[in-house]
Amino acid sequence: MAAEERPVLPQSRRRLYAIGFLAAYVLAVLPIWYEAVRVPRAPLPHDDIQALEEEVAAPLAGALASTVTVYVLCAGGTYPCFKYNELSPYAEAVGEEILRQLGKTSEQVPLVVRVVHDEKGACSTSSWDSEGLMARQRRSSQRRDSGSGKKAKAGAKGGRVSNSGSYYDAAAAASSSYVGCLSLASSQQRLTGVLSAADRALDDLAAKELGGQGDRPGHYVLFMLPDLWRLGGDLPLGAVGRRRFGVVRYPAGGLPSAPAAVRLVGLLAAPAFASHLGDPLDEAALSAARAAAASDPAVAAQLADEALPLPVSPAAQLHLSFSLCNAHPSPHYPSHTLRAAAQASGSTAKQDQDSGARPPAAASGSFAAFAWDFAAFEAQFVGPWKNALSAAARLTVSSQVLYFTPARVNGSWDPQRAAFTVPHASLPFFVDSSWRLDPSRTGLPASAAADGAVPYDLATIHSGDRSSAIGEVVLPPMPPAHAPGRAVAEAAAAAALPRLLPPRAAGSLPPAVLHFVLFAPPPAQRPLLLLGPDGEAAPANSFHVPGWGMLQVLNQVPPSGAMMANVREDNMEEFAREALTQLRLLLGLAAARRRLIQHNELHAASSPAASTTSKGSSNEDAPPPVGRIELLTDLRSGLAPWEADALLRRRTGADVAAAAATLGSLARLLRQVPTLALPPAAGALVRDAVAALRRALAAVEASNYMDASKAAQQARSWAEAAFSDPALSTRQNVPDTHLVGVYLPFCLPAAVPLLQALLHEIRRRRRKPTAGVDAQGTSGVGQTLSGEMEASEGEQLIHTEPNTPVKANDS
Amino acid sequence: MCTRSRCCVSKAAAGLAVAVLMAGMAVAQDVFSEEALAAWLGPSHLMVHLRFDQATTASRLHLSFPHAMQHLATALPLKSAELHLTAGRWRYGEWGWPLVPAKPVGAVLDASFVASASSPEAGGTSGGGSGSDSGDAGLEAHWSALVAALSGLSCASLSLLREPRSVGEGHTRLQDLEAGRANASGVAGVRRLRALLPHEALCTENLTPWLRLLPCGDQAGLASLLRHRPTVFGAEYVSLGLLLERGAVSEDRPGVRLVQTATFVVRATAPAAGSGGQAKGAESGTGSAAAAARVMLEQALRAEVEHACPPAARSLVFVAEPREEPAAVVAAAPAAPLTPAAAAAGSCSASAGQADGGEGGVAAGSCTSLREAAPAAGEAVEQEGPGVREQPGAGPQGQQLALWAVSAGSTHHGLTAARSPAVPRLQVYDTLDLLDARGWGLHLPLPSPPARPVGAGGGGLGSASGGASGALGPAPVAVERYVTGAGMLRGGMVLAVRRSPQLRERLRVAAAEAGGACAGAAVGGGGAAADGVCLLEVVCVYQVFPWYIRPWLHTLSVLYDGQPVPLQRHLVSRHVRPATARASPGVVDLCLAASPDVSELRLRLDFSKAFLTAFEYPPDAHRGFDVPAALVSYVEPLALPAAQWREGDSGEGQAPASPLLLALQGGAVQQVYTPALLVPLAAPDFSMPYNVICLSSTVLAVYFGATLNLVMRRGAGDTAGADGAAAAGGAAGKAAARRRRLRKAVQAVVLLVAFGALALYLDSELREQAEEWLRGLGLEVGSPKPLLGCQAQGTC
Repeated sequence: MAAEERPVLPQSRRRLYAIGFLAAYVLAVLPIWYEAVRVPRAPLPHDDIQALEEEVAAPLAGALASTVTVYVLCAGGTYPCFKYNELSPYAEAVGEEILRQLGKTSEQVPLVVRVVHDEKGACSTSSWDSEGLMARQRRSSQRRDSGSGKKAKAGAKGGRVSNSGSYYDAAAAASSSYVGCLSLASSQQRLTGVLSAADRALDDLAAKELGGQGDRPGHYVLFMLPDLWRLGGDLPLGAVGRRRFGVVRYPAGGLPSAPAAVRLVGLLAAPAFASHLGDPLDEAALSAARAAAASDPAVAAQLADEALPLPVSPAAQLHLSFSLCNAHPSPHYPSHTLRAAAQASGSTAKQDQDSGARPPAAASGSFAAFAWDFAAFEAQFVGPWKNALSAAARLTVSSQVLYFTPARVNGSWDPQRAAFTVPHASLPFFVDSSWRLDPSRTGLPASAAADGAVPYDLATIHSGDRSSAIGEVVLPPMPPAHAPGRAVAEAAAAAALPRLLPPRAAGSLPPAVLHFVLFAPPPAQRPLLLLGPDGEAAPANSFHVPGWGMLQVLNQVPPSGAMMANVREDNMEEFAREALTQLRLLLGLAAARRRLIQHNELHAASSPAASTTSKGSSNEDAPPPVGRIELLTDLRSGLAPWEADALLRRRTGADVAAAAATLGSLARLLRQVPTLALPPAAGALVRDAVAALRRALAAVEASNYMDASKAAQQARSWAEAAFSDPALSTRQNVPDTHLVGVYLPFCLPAAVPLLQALLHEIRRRRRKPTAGVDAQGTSGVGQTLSGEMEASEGEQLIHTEPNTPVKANDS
Repeated sequence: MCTRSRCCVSKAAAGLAVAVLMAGMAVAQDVFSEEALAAWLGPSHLMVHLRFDQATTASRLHLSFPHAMQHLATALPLKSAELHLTAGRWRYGEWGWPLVPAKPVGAVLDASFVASASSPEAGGTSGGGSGSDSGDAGLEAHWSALVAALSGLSCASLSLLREPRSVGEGHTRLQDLEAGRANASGVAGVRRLRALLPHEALCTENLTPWLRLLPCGDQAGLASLLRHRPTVFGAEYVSLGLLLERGAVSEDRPGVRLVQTATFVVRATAPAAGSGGQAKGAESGTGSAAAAARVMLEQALRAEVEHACPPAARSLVFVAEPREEPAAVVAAAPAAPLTPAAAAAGSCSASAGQADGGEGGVAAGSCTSLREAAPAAGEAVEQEGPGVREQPGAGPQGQQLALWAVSAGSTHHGLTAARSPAVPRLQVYDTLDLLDARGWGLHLPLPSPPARPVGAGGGGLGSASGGASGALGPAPVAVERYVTGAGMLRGGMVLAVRRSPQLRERLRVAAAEAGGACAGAAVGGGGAAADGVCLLEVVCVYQVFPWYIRPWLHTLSVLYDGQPVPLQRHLVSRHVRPATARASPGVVDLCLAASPDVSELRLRLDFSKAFLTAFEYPPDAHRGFDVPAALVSYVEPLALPAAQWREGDSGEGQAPASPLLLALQGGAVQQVYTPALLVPLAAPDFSMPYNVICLSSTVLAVYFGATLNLVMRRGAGDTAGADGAAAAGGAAGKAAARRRRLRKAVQAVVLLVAFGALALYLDSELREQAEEWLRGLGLEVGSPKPLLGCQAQGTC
């Protein structure tokens, strides 16, 4: 056997070689194959995304809470005031009333009602949280506790009213984040000053008194003031201020907790301060709304508007494109157009022509094309909108003047109205697609600091190696270089910049575009009147198309003989007013305002009868009558901060939901389609979006409007940008058979000799115990598979022969 | 020395637009002007050229400027971008020399970008400087962004231009030669890229978006001449142009300018004199009989201008008067002095480049001859004037314009003017006035068409007059290009440039006037673009070769009038860049000096054709591959410096500031595009990929098998060694085993190296990756760049 040791060595070494090569082959080829076939995919935080989805799916997850502080001012003296223990029931009553006016239950609305009772020398507060808010707090604390391993203890308190109503001093109030005591009743002079102030003055006064703490988004103050000059039987009056204040004046003889006063608080606060626009209504409200819609087409239209998605891009960009369209700025009419117009106007027009009611060729003289001074218009009207809405959406503006943009619908002559009319049914076909309105896909117009009159600056972002203008930053006008206020203004601008700049990925998400068209009809069709759905002339001679924009007709007659004329100032003003109204409608903000205004109409309609019916039927169910509601309008922007807040609430909620949904569907998509690639940049975006979503949820719980909205916007735009990554849309459809088909011609021939050698070795090993000499001759060699193998086998055949002597030696 | 070039013209025009802006500023920040030019090219061919000029200083609040273009101009560090879409060829032989430069078939995109370092970001104050310092990569990104935007804006499939096969960077321009910038690709800080796409078809879908950029579309103004699409696209030559320029009005007021041009040659027949009375619209004309015999412009285009476009600040129609018959010129006694005058002016323009329109005088020292010659020419023109004036008298309210060269030298008056015979007179009509007065319709009578094609004229008689060529005359230069050779592997290309006898005559005279510097340079002009080279004699050829056409530069031969001449002796400037496969095209840019006696230049060049991969072939692989048009430029001595269009016959009157006229004025350097060329390339069997996969896999399998076999084999030596070891177990056996092992290792290494080299040779990606690895290891890998560089400099 000692002699056997030596020949074994090459044999074992051969085996070693074979196994080594096989291993090397597997080790080398598999990574190569894997690298060639693998789909590049950045790792995704799947667990985080799922957790976030669940978190967002919980009720009221992204709903920002609004805090309504009812500031009760006690007049003192002989007038009745609250006792200490009456505050909590009062807060609850107010909360319930607001919920009733909203048409929702306590679980559906995040609402905090605080009552501050200001008495001479002492203040007391009480607060009431809605059930939904408390449930959310419980959930989050549970989560926190389970995260830290502790058992949930908090939130088991069933009480919804947390009565903190102890007497406390002003310092404590200031330290709290809520509106504290203003000590308005501290002196008689002050008290009468407040009580006798008119609505507008009170608004200013409150802003001054509250300073910074009152004018924050989400915090509203409703002053309950006793009206010393009115009798006990009078109805309470209310007003919604220009900022975030409201006032209810109840007859001084009664208490603020009188049913009528409480109802008025609800009527004011529900639409203005606590509404969540665009929320899915619950069943009861929905059926009621349907019933209302069935009876009133206006209500139906309003509901339809509210249900529509906001025309704001995922990156919170909204572009307002203002166009002045001159339908036909020329005295000449080609004959065919005239004929078509005559046909369109129909037989009635023909009769009227005969009777001479039609304005005869007034067109020929005054055909001038209109131009406008848009820079001034923007500075005066549009700029303030941008500022007012800047937290909810970044607005950008461009303008242009178009010529020869005939409408696709011709008006027909209406002798009663002495105008050409376009019926409401054909308004959807009014705008011709061949008008050269701003396309949305060419990107935003870049604003440069071209004209010093308008304080805009250009914001550029760098995407890759190319910087593109993405939006306009609204900055206050800078004082000149060496003026004293320069440094302060610069600091303010620098502070405002991050809020106004779009998030990083906004470049890849096109902005939503709303068109605002001022349409000058052709001279032969002037004046042109658009009709509403009821057949009456549309208000302000305009119409809007949800998601597209609005159009107003300009019936100004230019001076005859001129080629160009400017749009008159008053027409521009009217256009601005109408544009704002329609913008409010397009953004879903109109409902709250309309509800406040409609209340007055109802009140006016029913007030003569109200006294008799209320006496006659004194029904328990009948709500107590209330007085008029005043609605103060911000003079500059026309958009009150509380309206912008409502938009912020809606946008934040929608953004949070959309971001979570997008992330979830991205994760699911990637899980379901294994051949989809996800580049690392998109992966980074997803991680950022997850982090931003967490931040947004935390900020929502802290009811920090600004942070929540910013984080939610970021989360959504990043999630959308990741989802719309080009790599995801170009899926490489490579079937598995293809992968095998391409790589098999390489892998298989190379594997054959290896496998063969392996087989050889195995067979030899199996025969070894009964090793025979002739076994060597038939040791799996002669059978060849392919031509190339034949050669190698042949060589093998040659070199196996010398082994025989060794074996022979053995035998 | 004025070293300005064609960009000078555009600058002047831009300055003009700016002047308009400043004049009408305050309210309107957008200006728009439209002009049209109509000229007969033959008895039945009418050329119509429309030009729409828009400029703005506003950024987003516009009155008429299209937002999309504004956005494009601000989003990219663009200096200018020019896109031309053309269908049909300009027939030089029949139609003569084009008034506005003709473009080659297909799409031409020419863009210059501001180098990022010194990029004056328009208004980008808060955004900071652009982050694109990465040079070429940034340029490429900008280029592809521009191409994508323009192809969207013009509905053309320009996206093919993003492929690098046809994008060349800058070329030597004749005008730059003088300043010794033969190698520079342009002004510092500006990078020019140009690409041609010969097989892009132009059709209505390109015109519609093009019209959308106009404030009135084709609804009003002169653009409504394009309303009858069958006429426009039935034309024998149609070219749409789009020029976007960015400049600055002042320090903080950036301006953007958009010029749209449309040129087309329609077939229009003049009604016979008898049937003219029935012609549509003739009854409303003023001159009844004379006008009735003429074709109306709108009638020829089957479209009517019904309305004026309200924002148009200027709306003019120029109608070219037919040239004076040679007889009139010959009859005029002082025709002889006219020629040297014009020629002298030409020489000045040649040596002084093209002077700015506003400069007025001629500053160059060598141009003394003009002062003596100009008065004579002025007299000549004034004498011949009355004879001509009667002819256009029948036309309506148009004014007459002619191109006058004004020189500061005074003999008679303060200013003398010489009318350029190279350009026809123009009749000007104001559309706004016409529409105002007449109701709708312009009813512009065209002059009666010439009896024979403009380009076919010439002949021996005309050559004597010297003035009968140039614009709207027979082409002074004929360019021809064709492919020689057969087979799929090799081929040759010939480019022939023929000068007309008239041009040679003018060149000769001009050269004689210019004097010794010119002659000396011509004789002693070595290779370099030395100072004092006579530009009159220089002909430049710029040819871009796609990378799959590989020219062999050593085969380049030059023939003057059929006689081979040594290239080096006549070379003025050379800029040669070999192609990089699949990355950039080859560029051959030569400037040759040819004395005025030479009537034909012929360049021959052999090339070999590359094999493309299966995926690089277009769907119509057997059609052949386009070689972009070559650009031939030469100096036209007749183009005058300080020439201005002036009203009237004696050259007095204010020069109308019209962009179209400025463009017509052109420059001394004329450029001609050759027609495109098709080169057939070997088309593969397109089932190739799987064959390749199988083949390469087989090769790899052979490799593995061989290696394996080698390592596992135990040859005769093995057994001997084993026997020896078994028998003796001595040192000899060990040595043999070691030797054996060594041999095996060597064999394995040889095999590995052989197959590795094969793989590297076959697979360029692998090669790149290997280079990358080596670079990562710190080894310096020799890249082909330095070699290219020395070739580019022309030193090797």
